[in-house]
Amino acid sequence: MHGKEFIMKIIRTYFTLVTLITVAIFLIGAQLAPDASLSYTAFAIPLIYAACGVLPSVVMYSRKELTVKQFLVRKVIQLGLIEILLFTVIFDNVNELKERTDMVILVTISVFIIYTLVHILDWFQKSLSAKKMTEELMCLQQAVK
Amino acid sequence: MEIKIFKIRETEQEKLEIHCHNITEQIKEIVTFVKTRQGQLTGIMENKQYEIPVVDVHYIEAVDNKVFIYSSKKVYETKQKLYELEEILKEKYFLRVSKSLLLNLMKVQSIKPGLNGRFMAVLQSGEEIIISRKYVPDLKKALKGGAF
Repeated sequence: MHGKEFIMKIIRTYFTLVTLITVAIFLIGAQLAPDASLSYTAFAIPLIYAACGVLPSVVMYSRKELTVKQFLVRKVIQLGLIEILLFTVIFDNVNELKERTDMVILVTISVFIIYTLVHILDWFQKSLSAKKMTEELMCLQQAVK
Repeated sequence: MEIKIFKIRETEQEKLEIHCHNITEQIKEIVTFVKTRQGQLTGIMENKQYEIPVVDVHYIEAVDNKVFIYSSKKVYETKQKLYELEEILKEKYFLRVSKSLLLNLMKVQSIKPGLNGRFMAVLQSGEEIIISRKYVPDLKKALKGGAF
């Protein structure tokens, strides 16, 4: 993937993540702390978390086209890095991580769901593109006949 | 070799004659080139030479410095290079979809998404061909009629 194409994909993913993280915070917050009052800095949280979500995308960069195996391995590494990065940002130290297991589980699951959703949205977009190409192909074949 | 071109009447049939001392590899190449331009590919299968109509070809693939022509059921080897075929068959709606594969767009039934930015071309025979990410923009352009 060329650098420009890769950066465009990162930017698209970043804004998708911002939206999905905002939704996740709303849903989790409404369940766990419905009466909590938040400061203006709360608005920055989805932006920061989304940045944590896209930074590990660097492992997906390759000038050569990746094989399916390489692609899947790098995807697993990417997910692992996202989890580590977010834990580092959310939790102050290892003790807090040990004490708040419920929160750790919730964050892990949320990250996995958002990660999956981003890929589903990406797949959906590609499906639309494939459908459009198929339609154009049919038109071309008809025109040639 | 001396080259002569004669203009003939519309009513007469066009023909190409080669007068040579021996049928060398160079002569064979010229004949293959002309046949390809006319919609015929020359392929070898089990030491026999066959004329394959371009319209029957699904795709052409280079594997280990050899080039193979795939029709719905048969596979032939050809002496022509992939880049040569790409250039000649461009007008016949053949498109490079990966480093080693030329696809006949007229034999594609549908396109579906694949992994890692790739797409898959589903052929009329049911076979699936990988369209490399690098060649997707060329395919989109071709489907809009921009490449032929």
